[in-house]
Amino acid sequence: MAAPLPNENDIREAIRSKAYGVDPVILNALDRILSDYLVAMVLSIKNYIEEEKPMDVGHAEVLLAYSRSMNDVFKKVMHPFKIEPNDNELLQNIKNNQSQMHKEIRTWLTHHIGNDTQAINFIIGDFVDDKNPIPVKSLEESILTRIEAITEVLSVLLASLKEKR
Amino acid sequence: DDEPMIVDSMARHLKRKGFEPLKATNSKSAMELFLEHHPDICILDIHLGYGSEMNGVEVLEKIRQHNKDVPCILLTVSSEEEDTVKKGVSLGAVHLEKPCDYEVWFAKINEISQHIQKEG
Repeated sequence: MAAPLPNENDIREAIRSKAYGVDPVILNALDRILSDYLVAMVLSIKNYIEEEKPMDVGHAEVLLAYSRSMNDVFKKVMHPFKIEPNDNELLQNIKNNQSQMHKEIRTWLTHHIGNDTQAINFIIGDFVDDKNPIPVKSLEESILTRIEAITEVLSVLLASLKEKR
Repeated sequence: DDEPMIVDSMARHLKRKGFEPLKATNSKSAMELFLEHHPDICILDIHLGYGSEMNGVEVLEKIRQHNKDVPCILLTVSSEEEDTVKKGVSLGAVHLEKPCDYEVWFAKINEISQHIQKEG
């Protein structure tokens, strides 16, 4: 989980109090697309944790592919000009609506989700590259914690939208 | 990088590919390693340190005071630091935007390494 920003509490409070608006089109894309990958990863990882077995390389490769997709989606949300005609409809909505993001939220999201998705990619990639199963400890302490951190960040934004309604 | 887990993963990748990585998780130790070992390539996360510590670009500035030519890669999470990124690029750093796939990251390091060997 990425280290808190120096003004972390201020940003979270501003999001909570709606001082910083959250574009629902952007959030919808981020949440719905990333959540699919995050949920799939969590289910898979928890399975291995519960069985106290390391994750085999084949399965880790699947998670690596998910992490690459997450990286790709995240970059496109942050840079809508990168969205292509064959991309997910939710991404197309961002481009078509010319949705904008508050500068501070952008900074916060790019720091937390950008760093954590990268970390997940590097950690899983390390094991896949070395053709080593991922030990339970790494699944729990290195990958799952970062997935939970990304989920938490998304939930902060979602909560602010729900309160608005 | 300020995250030890990331630094360890990066170092393992590099070691497997025949490099001899040195690891630092804060700006002070990064500069100490640089001054002691004179690495061939420097990889700096822009968020090397917050608060009183130098960030990645500030470390790069210090590096440039000692060596104007050592190839440096600056890892940034875009948008938040556009001016900082521009400064890094003006100091001759290659900029890689996070999140960056580890194969893309390594390909850039390999490219720089091969260029050094060719010049060599």
